[in-house]
Amino acid sequence: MIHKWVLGANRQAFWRWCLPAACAALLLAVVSFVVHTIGSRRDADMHAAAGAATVAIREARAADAVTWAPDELLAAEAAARRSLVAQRIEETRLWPIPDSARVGADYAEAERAAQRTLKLARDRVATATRVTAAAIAQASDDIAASDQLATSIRLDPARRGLLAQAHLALGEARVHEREGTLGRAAARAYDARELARLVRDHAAAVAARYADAETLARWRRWKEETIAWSRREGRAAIVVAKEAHLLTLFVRGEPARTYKVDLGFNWIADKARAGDNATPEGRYRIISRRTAGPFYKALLLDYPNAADRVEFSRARRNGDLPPSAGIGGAIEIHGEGGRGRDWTLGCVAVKNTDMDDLFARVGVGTPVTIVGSDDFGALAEFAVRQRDGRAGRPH
Amino acid sequence: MRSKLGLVIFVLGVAVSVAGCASPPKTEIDAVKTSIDQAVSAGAGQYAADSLKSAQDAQGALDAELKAQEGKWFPSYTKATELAAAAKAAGEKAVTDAAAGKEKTKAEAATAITDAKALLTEAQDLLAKAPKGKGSAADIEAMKTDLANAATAITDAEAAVGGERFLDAKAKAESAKTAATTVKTAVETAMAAKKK
Repeated sequence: MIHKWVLGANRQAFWRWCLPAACAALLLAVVSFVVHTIGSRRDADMHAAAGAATVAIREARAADAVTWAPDELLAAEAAARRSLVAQRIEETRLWPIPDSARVGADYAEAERAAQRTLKLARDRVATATRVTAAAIAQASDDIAASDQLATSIRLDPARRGLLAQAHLALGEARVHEREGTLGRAAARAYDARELARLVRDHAAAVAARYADAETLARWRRWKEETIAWSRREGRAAIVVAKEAHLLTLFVRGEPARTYKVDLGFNWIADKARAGDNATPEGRYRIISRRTAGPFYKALLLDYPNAADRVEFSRARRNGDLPPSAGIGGAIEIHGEGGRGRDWTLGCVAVKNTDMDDLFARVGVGTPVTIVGSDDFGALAEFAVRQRDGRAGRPH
Repeated sequence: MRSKLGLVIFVLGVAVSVAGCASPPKTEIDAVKTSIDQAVSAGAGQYAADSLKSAQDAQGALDAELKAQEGKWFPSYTKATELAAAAKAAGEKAVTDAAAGKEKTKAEAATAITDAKALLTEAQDLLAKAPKGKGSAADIEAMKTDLANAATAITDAEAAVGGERFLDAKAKAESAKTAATTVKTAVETAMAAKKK
């Protein structure tokens, strides 16, 4: 049969059937090639779109969008998952040419959502970083101010504890900032500020006396009367201004010399009882001179004087002091000072060389007037600022 | 002839039924969910975020494949089974990584607490030896208060470890270390000045 075909016996049949079949096969091959090429290209488009969306989501996650833009990240990831479903449906369809445009558009939307999430997360992280750094810096300043106050004002153990807790909270805030847990860092910084504020409020209450017009007028009157006495009697007199930490020697009513002094470590308060470590305020006299002692030379004052005794009795009667409280004594002007800090239990300490000079110029009976301040100073300003609710430092 | 036609129809019917009724690999899918739930419970979100993300991505790919096959007349779950195996493995890795990450953070917190305790003891011992007198009594009392608060912070850090808040614990212990060091340095400086 084949032989006959080849020989041309059925040549007519050959041309009638085989040629169209060959043409059809060729056409099929061409169509298959074109379809395959288009399909492959569209598959590649879908994969590229999927890759871009995946990269964008990965970048958003790397920017900690989980923490800073969680809802937006979830939305972007949900969009990417929906796109993946659409992609797989197209890939597994019988028709070999997938609808890559629709899938690509879905992925592009997911990619845009991820990019928006990335930007949002970065913005929020930047804001949180800035806010946290500012909170820590502010807490640090507040604590530094409170530390400074603590050197001027003797803090009771409870308030000293508050200050210690403020330091600890600030330390925690710094660790959290370093670890990137910014929310916790800011929260602890705010805690630190609040604790420091309590200390400052206490300091302001203590310093309020220095802004009280009546008290200030009394201190000024004491000082003027002491100077007037010195002028009138032609003798030496001493005025100690606690806030300024200055002892001024007046001779015949004129300032002859000033000396830097260290005071009781609770100097800011007026002495009310034994053991309060406050330097008393009042008008005293030197009642004894000692040429040698544990703190070099010393000039003993007549604390408590009559006014102190009256005030002490009133305080005990009113319950401001416990019945067991004593009035205290042995307040001196002595040597071993010049330490640059307040360390005595209520005495006034000067440098030994200054003590030599002072010792030679005064004697028993010399008036010694001790006042909180003789002007509206930094402490008064601090108390007023705190009272008015504005931040401020005493020095 | 009729019996042959019947046979062909029967075979075709069975083939269509088998192909059309293929069901998703439920056991494998459940295993994936279980492994990822375990990872989340183990704290992978905090301690092995990248591993958890990989597992969740793998689960997402599996879900997509399942949804793609759902709408088909002749679904095939061969690829879904492969994806389920990969997702389960990723979930199990996230569990392991979470445990390792947690242990690492816990160890860091424990080290910080141990160091803080040692420093606190050193500072307390040194403070006990500090020269007492009129000029230092107030400072010593203040420093004692500071150390007492540092000790409280260490106790709080230990409680935080108990509550598995390891980063909080580390922060508290580090802060207590700083407080103890500050006191120690202040006492050493004062003692050195005294010797001069």
